[in-house]
Amino acid sequence: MLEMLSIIDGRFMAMVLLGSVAGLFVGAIPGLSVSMATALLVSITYTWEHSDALAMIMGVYVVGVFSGAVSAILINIPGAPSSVVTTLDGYPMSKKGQSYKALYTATIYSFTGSLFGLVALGLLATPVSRLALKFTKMDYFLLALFGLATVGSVSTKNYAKGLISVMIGLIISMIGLDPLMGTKRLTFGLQNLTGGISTVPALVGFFGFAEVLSVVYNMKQEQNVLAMEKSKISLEEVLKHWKLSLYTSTIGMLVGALPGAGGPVASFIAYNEAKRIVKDPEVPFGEGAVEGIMASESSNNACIGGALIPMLTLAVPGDAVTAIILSVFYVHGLQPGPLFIRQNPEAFHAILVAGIIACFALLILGLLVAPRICRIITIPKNIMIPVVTSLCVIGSFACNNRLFDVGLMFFFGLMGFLMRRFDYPVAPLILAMVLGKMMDSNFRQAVSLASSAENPFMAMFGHPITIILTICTLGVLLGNIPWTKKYMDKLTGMVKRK
Amino acid sequence: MKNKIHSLIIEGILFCGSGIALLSYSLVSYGKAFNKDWGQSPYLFLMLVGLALIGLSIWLMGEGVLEMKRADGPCADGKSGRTGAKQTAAGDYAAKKQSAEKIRWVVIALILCGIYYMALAWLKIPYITIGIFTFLYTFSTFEVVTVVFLAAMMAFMGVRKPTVLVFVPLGTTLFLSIAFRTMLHVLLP
Repeated sequence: MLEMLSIIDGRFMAMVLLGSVAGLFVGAIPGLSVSMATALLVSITYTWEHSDALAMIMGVYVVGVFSGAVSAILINIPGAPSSVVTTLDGYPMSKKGQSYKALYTATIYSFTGSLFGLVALGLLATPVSRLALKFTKMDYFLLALFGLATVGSVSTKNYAKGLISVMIGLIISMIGLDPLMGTKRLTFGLQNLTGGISTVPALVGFFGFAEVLSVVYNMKQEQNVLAMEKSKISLEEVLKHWKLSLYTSTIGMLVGALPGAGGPVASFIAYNEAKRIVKDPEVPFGEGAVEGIMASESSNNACIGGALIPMLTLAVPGDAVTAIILSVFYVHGLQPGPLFIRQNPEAFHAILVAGIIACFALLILGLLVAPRICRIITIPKNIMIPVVTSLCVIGSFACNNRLFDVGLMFFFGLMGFLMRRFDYPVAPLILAMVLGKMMDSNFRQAVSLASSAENPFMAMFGHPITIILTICTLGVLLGNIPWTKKYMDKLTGMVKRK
Repeated sequence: MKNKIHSLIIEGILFCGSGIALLSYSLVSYGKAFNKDWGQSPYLFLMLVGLALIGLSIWLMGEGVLEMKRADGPCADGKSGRTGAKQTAAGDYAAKKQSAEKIRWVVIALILCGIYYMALAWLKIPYITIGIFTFLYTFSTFEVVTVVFLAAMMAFMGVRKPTVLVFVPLGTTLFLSIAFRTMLHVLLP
């Protein structure tokens, strides 16, 4: 505890607060996203102390996830994908003149959800790390494969497209020198590709520039901000759903901890659960039910802590933002994994403390500033988008100081835009890009080790954790392939009946 | 009337080609490599990804074929899918025209960004430092090119007020330059 408190100084607090303020605007302005902001931050913060970088990124992450609800409530456009569900009840409340109450509820439950997730991170990270020490090379490969198979299934209606995105990400990750033998792969004689594709230009391209092109594509879409009337709301009235919020926060934390799944999935599940549990809400769900906002916001914010658990203990990110945070670790020479907490306690404490400070910043900013930023969230897109383009150029150039990366960023941006147009999800690609090298080296090492064993198959798949992970991965794959899905459904039906 | 090929089939063919290319690349590179142990080969994982991509593209093509069959089947009102399709043809044409227009906007935006990129790469403006009391402000290629780019992009996106077109690009560039170059010591193009 004292170790954790020793991290806090004026500079650290300032970094978290600066990040929180940035997160509030980035999350609230449709067209800007937390992923984009963290991707840009990676390029700026790589020369900083890692505690400063982590402090600012945690500020952006925690408050950015919440502030997606601001535009979801006021203009019916979610600022972040995880706030899509908030629009279902948030906007109807605004139309009834209750936007302040909706924002108040979103703030309170985002705060409790974030805090819940971070406490869970603090309590569960060490036991999960201990378990991770028992993982073999094959287990790491299978865990990453399980994550990619899951994210492919939850991020799009067409599973084949989700998996194709994963394959593209894996191909991009293999460009450059092979991590085990040092052989050049897929460089096609280009010297600039020998070091591989840097994560930053790819992230800035896929999240930043692709968004710019999408906004240009939908340029004539209009948005209306509803007037906000400040009304008196008692904390008691808002907090009467605290028991249900604990349940939805637990859902958020668990879904967040699943590699690949993230806020959008968590909020959908939590919303459906709230609908199932609350039989007689004061206002029906979908027409302005406070319970709907509570479920969505507490779960998507609890995802933050949950997503950080596999990222810190297994180096397997839970969602796109944690994939970017993972690259921050690599840029700063930190190696997440089972030994991370033991070897780098100060970095772990920095994340935890920065997250908790950001939760309180969320509460203050959400109650005092969020209701007043209606004008800012409607900055004309024709002014904002050119500025974002310049930021993308700065961000992609800053990581290696070469214009080749700026070109790559434009290329990946165009690719991201086309993927969105043709319904190919970007999140699986990013996760595959980040995990690709790890999967490649672990898989080959597992094959090499098994080939010298007496029974190669048992050497690869005979370990208890390996068996569980293989069953989980096959379950996800077979449960989503249309030809095998009906058999899987029958099987689960039989198990349920028994 | 000829049936239009479903987009999923075209996408499937594209990815199947990419998968075959990747598979060929892995096998050819493996053949040329000194170490013939597949377990240690840097092309093993690449080959598996290529195979998976081919499998997925076949799946995608299969879905495309099913979609086409569904579109050809009878509708609920007893009319054939093709007759129903004719009725919506006019709506489709309008949507396609609108989509083409939007794509044109994107292409123009890309051209502007391309010019911005080339200007950053080829223009070499020497560093100029201005001293205001103790504060030193340095500007170079990035600042000059960015002001022009921002004004051009804003004009393209429909900003017509001359004051906005002049002061917003100047102010934004000044802010970006001071924040990144001067305060954060980030190198700019």
